[in-house]
Amino acid sequence: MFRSTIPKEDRELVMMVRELVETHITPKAVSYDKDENGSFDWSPVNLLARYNLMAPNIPEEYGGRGLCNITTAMILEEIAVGSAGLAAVLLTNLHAVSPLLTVGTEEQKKEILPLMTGESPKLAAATIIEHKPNLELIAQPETMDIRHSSVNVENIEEGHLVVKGLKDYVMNAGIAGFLAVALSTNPEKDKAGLQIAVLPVETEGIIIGKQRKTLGLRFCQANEVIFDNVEVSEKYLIGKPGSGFLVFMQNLDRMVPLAAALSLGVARAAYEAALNASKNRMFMGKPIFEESTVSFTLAEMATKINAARQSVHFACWLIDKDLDYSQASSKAKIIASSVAQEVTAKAMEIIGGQAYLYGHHAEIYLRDAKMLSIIDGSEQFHRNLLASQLY
Amino acid sequence: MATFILSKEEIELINEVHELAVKKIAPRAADLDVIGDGIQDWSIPELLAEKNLLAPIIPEEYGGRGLSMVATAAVIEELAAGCAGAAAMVVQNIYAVTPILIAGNKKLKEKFLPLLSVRHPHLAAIAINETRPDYNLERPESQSEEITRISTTFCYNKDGEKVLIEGSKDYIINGAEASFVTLLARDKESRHKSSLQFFVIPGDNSGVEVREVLRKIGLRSCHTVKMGFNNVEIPSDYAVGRRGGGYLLLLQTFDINRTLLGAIAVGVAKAAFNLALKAARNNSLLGMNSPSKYYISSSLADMSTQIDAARLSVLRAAYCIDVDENYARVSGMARLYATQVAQQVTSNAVDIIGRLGFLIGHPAEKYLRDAQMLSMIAGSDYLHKKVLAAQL
Repeated sequence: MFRSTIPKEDRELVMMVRELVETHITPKAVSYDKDENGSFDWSPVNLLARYNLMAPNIPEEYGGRGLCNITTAMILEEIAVGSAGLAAVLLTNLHAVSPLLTVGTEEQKKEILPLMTGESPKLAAATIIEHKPNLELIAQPETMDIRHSSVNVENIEEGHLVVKGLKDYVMNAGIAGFLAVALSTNPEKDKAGLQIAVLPVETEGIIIGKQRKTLGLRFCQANEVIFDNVEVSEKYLIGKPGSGFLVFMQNLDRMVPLAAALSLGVARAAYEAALNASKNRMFMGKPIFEESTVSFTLAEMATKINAARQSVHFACWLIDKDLDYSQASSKAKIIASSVAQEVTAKAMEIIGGQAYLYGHHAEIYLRDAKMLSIIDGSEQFHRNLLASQLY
Repeated sequence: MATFILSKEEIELINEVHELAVKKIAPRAADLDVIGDGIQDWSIPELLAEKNLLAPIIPEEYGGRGLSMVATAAVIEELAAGCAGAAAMVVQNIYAVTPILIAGNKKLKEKFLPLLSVRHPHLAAIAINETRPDYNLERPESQSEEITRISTTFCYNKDGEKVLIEGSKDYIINGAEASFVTLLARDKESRHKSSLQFFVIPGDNSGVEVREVLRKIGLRSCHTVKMGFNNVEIPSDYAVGRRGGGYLLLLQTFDINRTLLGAIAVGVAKAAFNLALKAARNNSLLGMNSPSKYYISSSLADMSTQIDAARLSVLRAAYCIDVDENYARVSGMARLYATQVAQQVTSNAVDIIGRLGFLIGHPAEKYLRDAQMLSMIAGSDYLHKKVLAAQL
C-alpha cells in the first residue's frame, strides 16, 4: 500500500535489484557466509557500487541516488533475500552516513558524501558498542552503554581534540573508509557530554584490531577498533558539542526500519525456500504441501510477513513525511525481527533434516534472523523504549 | 483517486463515530450484554441511523454516505472499540448489500438500498449457512469440488415471473427484524456450484419465519436467529445478477467484507489494550522498580505493536479493494492476522488487569468473548488458512 506512494522509476529500480540479486548474489550467498577469518570478498560490493547502491539515500547533489526511505527499505529487503550479510554491509554503511545527513554542515556533506557514492565508494562504519575487558568482579553494565562512551577526549588545544579509547564489534570496520564515533567530550556530563565525529580511517592513531567471529551476518565482518591518541580536527565533528546522544537516538529511530527491512528479506527468503521445498518434498507419495499442517503453517507465515512488511513501510513512510516516527520505528523492528525468527525456524522444520546441515541456505537464514534481532537495539531494548513512551 | 490517507471530512466523521461509540453505544452495549441476545434492541440501530452509518458504503445516489473501504474500515474499528456487536450489525448490513451493489439491477438497488440510508432505522441480513447442509456421503477422495452443499432451493415458475424458495438458514445476524434478507440458493434440479444464485427477500414476505433465537457467548448485542423459508414466493426481479452467477458473487462478497471483520477485531483489540494500559498505570503494585513492571510493559509494547500491524494489514486490504487490485489474498491475511491478534491481546489484557477483569460485567471479559466470536463468523481461521494455502 505504502509502496504505491513511490515513483515509478523507483519501483523499476527495485525490480532491477531483484533481478540482479537473483542472478548474481543468491547463487553465491552460501560462499559469502564464511566461518574462518579471511580477506573480504569485494565482488558483490563492487557489483552494487556499479549501480550506485551502496548508500542509496544520499541526495543526488552529493552523487547519490536520493531515494526515499521506502525505496531504500525495499532495496535492502531485496538484497537481504539474496544475502543478509551483504545487506548488513549496506545497513552499517547507512548507519554511519545518517548523522552526516541529518546534522552535518554543508561543507562536511560536500567533502565527505561524494566519496561514499559513485562506482568506487568508500564505506563507513558506525562504532557504537563498547567492550571493556574488566577483570574486577564488580558488574559494570554501564560500560556497554552508549551514554558512557569510553572514547574520551584527553586534551583540547587550538581546536584539536586528542581522543583515546576502545570500541568493539564494529561491523564493516575492516573495509571502511570512514568511522562514525561518539566522543565523550565531557565525561562528567554523562549523556550530555557526547559528540559525534566521522573520521577517515587513515587518521593517525586509529588501529583496526582483531576480527570477531559472529554467528550470523558473517559477510559483514566485525572488528575491534582502537583509538590510540587520535587527533581529531574540528572539521570532522558533526553537530554541536553535547548533542551526540540526541543525534544518536534520532539516527537509531531513522535506521531501525531499515534494519527491520533486512529481517523481512530473510523471512521472505526462508518462506520462499520452505514453500518450494514443501512442493517438492514427498511424504507417503504426496508433496508435503498437501498436508494441512504444512500448508497452514505456510499460510500463517505469509500472513505474518505481510503484517510485518506493512509496519516497516509505515515507519519508513512516516520518516519520509517527517511525521512522528519514533514509536512506529520501534514497532517495525519488534515485529519484523520476531516474525523473521519465527518464520526461519518454521522454514527449517518444513525443509527438514537437510536444512540443518552446515552450509544449507535455510540454516544461514536462521542464524541471520537471530543476529538481526540483536543489532540496532535488541527487541527487548525496543520494547522498553516503546513501553516508556506508552506510559 | 483512491488513497489510504483519510480526507479531513472523513477524519471528522471518525471522530464523531468515536464520540458516539464511547459515550452512547458502549454503555448500552454493556446492558444488552448482560440481558443476553433475547431481543432485537433498536436503540443502537437508531443511533447509527441518525448518522447514516447503518451501511456507509451505499453510494450517495441511493442516499448513503458512499465511503471508501479505507474509511469504512476506520468507522467500523471505532464502532467496535465501543461495542463489537454494533459493528457486527453494520458489517452484516454491508454483507447484505454487497451482492446488490455488485450485480443487482437498477430497480433492485432503488428499492432496497435506500432502506438502510434513511433516518428510520432498518436492518438487513445475509443468509448463507444452511441448517441442514447437503453432505456428500461419498468417500472424501471421490467428492467433487463442483458440488455445492447449499440445500436451500429456488425454482422459477412456468412463465418465469415468480420464484419459489424453500429451505432453512442458520446463524443469521439481524435476521429477525431484517427489512430484507439476501439469500443464497441453488437450483432445485442441480447440485452444481454453477447453479447458485442470490435473491433478495423482503423480511415481511409470507413464508419467512424465525425458527429459533440463538444464544451465544460473544457479540451478544447483535441478535442472531435461525430462519425458515417455506415456499417463499418473490417476483423474479428480486434475483441478483445472472442465473448461475451466485458462486462468484459469494466469493467476491466474502473477499471484500472479510476486511471489515478484521477491522472489528482491531477495534476490540484496541479497546482491550487501552483498558489494560489504564489498569497498568493505576496499579500501585507495579511501582517504579517492581520486576513485574518490566514484564507488563514489554507485554504492552508487544500488544501495541501487533495491533498496529493488524491495523496496517486491514488498511492495506481496504486500499487494495478501493484501487481494485487483487484483494482476495490480502483481505484473507488481514482478517486472519487481525482476529489472531484480537484474541491474544484480549487474553493478555485480562492477565494484566487481573482478577477484576474476569468478573462478569467487566469490559475486559466482554472483549475476550467478542474476540473469540470473531474467528467463527464468516469462515473460521482454519477455513481462511485453507483458502490462503490454496493461493500460495
